[in-house]
Amino acid sequence: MKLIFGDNQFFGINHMSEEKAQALSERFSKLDSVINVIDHAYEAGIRDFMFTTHDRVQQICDHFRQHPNRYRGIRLYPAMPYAHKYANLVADKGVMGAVVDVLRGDGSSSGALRAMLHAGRGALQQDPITIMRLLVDAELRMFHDLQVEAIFLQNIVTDLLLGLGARNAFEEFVSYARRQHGVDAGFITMNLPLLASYLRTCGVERPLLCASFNKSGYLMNPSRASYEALIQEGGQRFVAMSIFASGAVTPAEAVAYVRGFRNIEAILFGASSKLHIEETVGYFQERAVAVPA
Amino acid sequence: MDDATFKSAPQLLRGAIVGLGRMGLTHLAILRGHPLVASLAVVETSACFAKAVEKNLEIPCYRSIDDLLHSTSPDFLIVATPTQTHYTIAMLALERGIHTFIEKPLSMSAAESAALVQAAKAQGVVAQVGYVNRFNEIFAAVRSLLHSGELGKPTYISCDIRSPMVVRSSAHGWRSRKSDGGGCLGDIASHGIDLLNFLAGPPLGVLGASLQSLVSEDVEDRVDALLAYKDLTATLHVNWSDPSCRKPAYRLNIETQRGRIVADQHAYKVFRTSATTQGYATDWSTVYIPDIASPVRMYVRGNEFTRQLDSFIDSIVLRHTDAVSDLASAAEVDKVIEQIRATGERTRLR
Repeated sequence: MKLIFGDNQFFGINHMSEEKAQALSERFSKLDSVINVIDHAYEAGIRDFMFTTHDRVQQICDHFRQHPNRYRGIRLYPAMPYAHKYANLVADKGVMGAVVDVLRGDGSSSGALRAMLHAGRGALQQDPITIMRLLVDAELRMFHDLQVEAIFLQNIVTDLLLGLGARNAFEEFVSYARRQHGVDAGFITMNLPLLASYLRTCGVERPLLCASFNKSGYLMNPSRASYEALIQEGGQRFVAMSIFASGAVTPAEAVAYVRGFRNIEAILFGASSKLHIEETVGYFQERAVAVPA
Repeated sequence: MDDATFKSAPQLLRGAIVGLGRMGLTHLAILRGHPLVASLAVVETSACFAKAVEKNLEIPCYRSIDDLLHSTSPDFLIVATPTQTHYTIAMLALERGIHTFIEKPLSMSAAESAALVQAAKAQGVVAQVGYVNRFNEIFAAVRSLLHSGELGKPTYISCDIRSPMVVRSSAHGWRSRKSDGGGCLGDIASHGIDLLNFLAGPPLGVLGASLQSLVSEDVEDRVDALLAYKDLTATLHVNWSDPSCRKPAYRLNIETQRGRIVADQHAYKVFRTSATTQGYATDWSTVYIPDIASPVRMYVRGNEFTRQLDSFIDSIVLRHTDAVSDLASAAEVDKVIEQIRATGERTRLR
């Protein structure tokens, strides 16, 4: 079971409390404090890191590129998009206006984009798959020259597309990532059983899925039991997140719970101090779970 | 809804969503897989976007509400268009006996909203407004605690809302145009007014208000109001141009005869006054959302968005016309909006 270090804490994201979220946001306002925590994770043996395509991640990536020896063997899992970047744009300019804005802001000289912008919004709107490819390229640009292990679609988009029934988007996200960027593509979701069965009908083989998995059933829709049955059954590559249910489950309980299931490929967790990182890594080591070297 | 009710449901429902902006798309995603919804159509005025939706999602798309109602007879309609169009569309639907869900705020004026309330009543249909906070577990729990009487009566409530929604001047979009129903007051501040109504009932009046434009040209970006109730005062402070927060953040402070409650969307803490309490930290108890949240059928953007639509569909099937967040309660919000606007415009700051 691999440990992937997540980044929610760096951007003031805490599902349990706005006060805690605000405190984190203030604490990590300087890049140095973020790098400091990443270093603690690296020193604790963690080599896998998930980063949302937040503007600030650009600086973290620059830092990795400037110090290749210090972060030898590091593997990144970009999760896209950073949704709030789009949400306000969509409210302001509509879905298409937001897309055009982001692609323009990307400064991409992509011929496809220029051709589409030239042909007008009409052309863009008729071809959402091309838009998706351009957005994937734009979001991935900040990770250039770093080892990207797999990319993930954030749950806000995954679950919206799932609800809308945008079948092509799922197939294409996976095949485009492989074809164009040579990486696996996965989906973060708050609706794991529904997504897993939908992807089967889309013909996506052994999908890479990331979802909440904790003893208290928090953010496990429609039920904890349906998640447990799916994980037991296998058929997908599964990354468990929110194993502490934002603090509702103790570390010992959380680890014991996920250890009760085979078919969990990795655990995604976040921590904001050396102590918490070492504690979490320790819990997994104690139980003879290999932490990647 | 339990299995027995499901089996006895008379028929599956046909619905339509008018307007595919941020909320329209969210509603579509939540409802498309609903077990009691047989089919969905959409109305979208942008021809290109409509074509893309038709082609890629295989959903029938109509260019206008008239086209839709001419070609189909939906059981329910979701109105997710700019506020200025709510009255006309909702009235068309209600008069045809179509169950209607309307995004907030209900309309452009208290008079229009009162007419919609009457129409819904006359037809005996289910009609609900998108005041989604009523379906947030924390706010619902705070209301239950307050109404239980354990803490005595509330004496003061403040509702603060900050959002980074409009952080720079922009001529785009209906939300920046007063004539379309844009502005912070009708937008996110209406959520705050409804939340106060949800907790304390409608106010007796607005004692003072101010509307400020911070970055917008045509609309207010900041709303402050002082509301009067019997034995209770409430304040509302809303800023939708606050770049210091990542997403909309609510903060409720409720002072009561025997305690205090502080709440946001994810947690609330309670101070209970007793003979032994002296303001120690241990006198506070906190409830976090993972402690009380229960899962939903299909999660898109937050549990409460699913709960509000599932409640709407359940009300239709069960023929409950007293939906949570019905038109009458939403019309109360419009009254307060009108009073705040009238008071605020007299003292408009720039």
